[in-house]
Amino acid sequence: MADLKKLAERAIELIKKNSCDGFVRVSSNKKSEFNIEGGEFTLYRTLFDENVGVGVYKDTKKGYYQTNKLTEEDIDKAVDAAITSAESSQPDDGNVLAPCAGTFNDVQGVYECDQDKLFFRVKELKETLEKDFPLIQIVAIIAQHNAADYIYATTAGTFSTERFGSYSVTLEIAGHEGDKTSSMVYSGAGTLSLDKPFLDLADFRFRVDTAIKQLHAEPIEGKFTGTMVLTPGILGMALYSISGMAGGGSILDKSSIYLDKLGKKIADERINVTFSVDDERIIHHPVLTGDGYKAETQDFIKDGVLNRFSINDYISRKTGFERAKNDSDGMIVRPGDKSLDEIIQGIEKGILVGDFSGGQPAPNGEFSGIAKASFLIENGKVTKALSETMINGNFADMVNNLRGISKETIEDGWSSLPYMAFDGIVISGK
Amino acid sequence: MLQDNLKDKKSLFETGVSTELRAQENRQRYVTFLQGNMVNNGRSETSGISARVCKNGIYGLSSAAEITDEMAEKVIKAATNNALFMSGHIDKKAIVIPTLKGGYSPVRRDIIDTEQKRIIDKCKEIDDYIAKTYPDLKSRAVSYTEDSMDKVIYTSDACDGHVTYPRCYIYVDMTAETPDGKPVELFHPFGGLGKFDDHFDLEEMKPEIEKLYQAVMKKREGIYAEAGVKTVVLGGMMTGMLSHEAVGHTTEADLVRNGSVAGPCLNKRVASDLVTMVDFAHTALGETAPLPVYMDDEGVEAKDAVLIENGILKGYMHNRESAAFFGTEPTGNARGWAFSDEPLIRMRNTAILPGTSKFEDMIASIDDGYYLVNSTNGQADLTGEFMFGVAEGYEIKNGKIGRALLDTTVMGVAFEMLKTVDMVSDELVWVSSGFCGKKQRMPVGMGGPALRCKITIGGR
Repeated sequence: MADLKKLAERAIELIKKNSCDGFVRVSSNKKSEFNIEGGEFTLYRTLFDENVGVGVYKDTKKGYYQTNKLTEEDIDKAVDAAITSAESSQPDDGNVLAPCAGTFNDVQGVYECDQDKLFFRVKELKETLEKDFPLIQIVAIIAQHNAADYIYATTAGTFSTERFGSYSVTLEIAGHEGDKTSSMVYSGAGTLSLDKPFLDLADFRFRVDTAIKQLHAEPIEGKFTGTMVLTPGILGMALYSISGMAGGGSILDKSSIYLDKLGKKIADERINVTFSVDDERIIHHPVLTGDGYKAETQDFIKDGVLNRFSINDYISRKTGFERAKNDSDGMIVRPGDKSLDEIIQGIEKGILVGDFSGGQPAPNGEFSGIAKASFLIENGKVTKALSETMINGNFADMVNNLRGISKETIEDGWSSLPYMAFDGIVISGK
Repeated sequence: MLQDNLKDKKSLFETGVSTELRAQENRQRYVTFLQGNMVNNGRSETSGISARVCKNGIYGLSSAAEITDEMAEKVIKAATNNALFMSGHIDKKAIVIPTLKGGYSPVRRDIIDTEQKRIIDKCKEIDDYIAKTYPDLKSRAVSYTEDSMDKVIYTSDACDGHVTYPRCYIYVDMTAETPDGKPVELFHPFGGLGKFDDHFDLEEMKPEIEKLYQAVMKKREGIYAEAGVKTVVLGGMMTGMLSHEAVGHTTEADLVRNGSVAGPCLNKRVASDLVTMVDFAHTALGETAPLPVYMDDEGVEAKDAVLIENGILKGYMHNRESAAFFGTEPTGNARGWAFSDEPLIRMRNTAILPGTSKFEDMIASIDDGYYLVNSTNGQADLTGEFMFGVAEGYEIKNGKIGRALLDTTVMGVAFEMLKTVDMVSDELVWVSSGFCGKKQRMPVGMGGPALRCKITIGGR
């Protein structure tokens, strides 16, 4: 393996020698992965890769070059390519290297893969599904161990060395009976431990139950406006959509509907969303942001009030708004005080949404799509599995029409999220 | 471009197993101007070597980032060990994969690099033109993206070859504001197969840029679609999305084996007899397909896969293993995105073929419906239930195209919806700028004529 530290130092020296500012990211990565497809083991792969990315600032011009070659000669070439790229670029006073964030040496997670135990857990998951859930068709299981050594250094003096490794498993299943197959149901989880069966991770058991029930899915007739209960995975997707609407290019070009909402109420006051870099339920705690600042936990929505824009340093400098303190990983949503059952009991007519297959939400928050892995709620009870059912609403409006937040949460290693129920959603069938 | 110097490594292949050795480079170039600010300016090259070994129906794969003799030996050995590890732990009923006739597929198209400055200057030229010509836009973006692949492939029991997939695009994105201050957005991709110099003459682009502007200004006055089952005309781009998402995925043989709805439907009616659909390998209707594939990553000479013929489901897309399972010939659909990725069954250029109707007659035939032009994204699952996001659409009233629609979504069940197709236009539209996202990304082409059919549309 290449000496990452030496290579990073070499790149920084070379950038300085060319009278530029800049940064280098060097990493060495390894992956072990078991694949099951169609209920059978199909592939075991072990991958080794390296990467170097060099960013250069020259007279407020910025260039970037990335390669996966890590010899000294390749590092020199990468710096040259980044400088050439910067020289070709446009001057822009937003292009400024982050100041020195300090020196870090961080080790997290499980660096070495326990191949035999990982294989055991995958095999156990496959065999448990086959034995205990004969109506489940395993479409795919992918179990991985990923590990990386990672260095980030800048000409301003930041020098961060990180080592991290973790396991992850993704599950794709469907209900299957005779010629009948249900819609696919997905889930995934990250973990640092192989001590418990994969089936007990995240919401895997709920997903298995959903896939079986979806065998009897049927469409509803007509349309109605009702309550939508989002399962944790889909809630995360909806909240990330809102984070996107309150961030990135839409702040830079001033098209965001939240442009004048910083520090103002944008959601029900019971909604609290935090991006955490130190919560123990999250398996990886980033040390630095992508821009090279020390990563910090930050509220995104606090008591319904928009606390930050999800913008980087460049957009911050261009617009005058404060940059986000992290890269929006590790979403933590504060749970409520009612159980999911209690919330459902209060719903006259609505839908429990397990998954969502939809068009990209419009910049104004409008969304529409198919409610997948979903169930009809009638008179306080979940009554039947649904197919060919569409939901339509607006994310920005939706978070102001909150009915309730569950006290149950799902932890999948990357987030901690409850169920949330929203009124005023158009639900339509055939 | 990669040097083709792996041939002598075939002597390292173990006997009694099937081996593929692949050296690959993925090259990306990207530049983005957002409202005149250059927010992206980068280049990347990722290359390496991988070996995949099949023993008793189970594959072992290993890869490394260096393309050297030493690494070729290492990955072959590691992949063989991985296959042995699995076959030692798993008792799988192996399918015998027939040996294929050998041969060599040569490079058909070089990957030519372009200086970053020329790319930046071109994007700036286009951005300046839009800023000057259309000052009433709320926002604009011009993005260049190039994602070329270069692969050298050697196999133990199929063809060898050197294949390339160069493509580059410039996306023009326009945002306008509705009267109540909400943003609406549309984009158009320019470019396609080949190198930077093959595309992007601003004078030639101007008519499409003007069309895009007119469309986004109409959309700012747009209305919500009315939810429910409607008679619609799908534009060629939407038909392409239908071909890829709703039908294509269900006819990938690996998903058929996983219980897709296409499994029990072989040789049965799944569409009206106006519908014929093909996954073209490299040549479609006498012309080079948008993203031609001559040999896949398993060393299979690529050939067209006829999926639906006059409404009858006729076949699937295969890799070598699935073809052996179904007792048919492989079609050359196995491709991997990165050097470390295993080849999966992927579509190439999937299209419903044109019919005989005139587009104007199709619109004129509808009293109350929608004309759906452009999609943002799409998804489908094993049941054939699909959805597409609709970014550009219009109402049809009394045989005429009317007001624009705000963003919406359509859905249906492919083999039910295709039976409602009762008019097919005589023009074929190809789209090739997107990626398919089945485990790995993959550039794909898709296309079709306009279709008149019934579909469920989401809305208020």
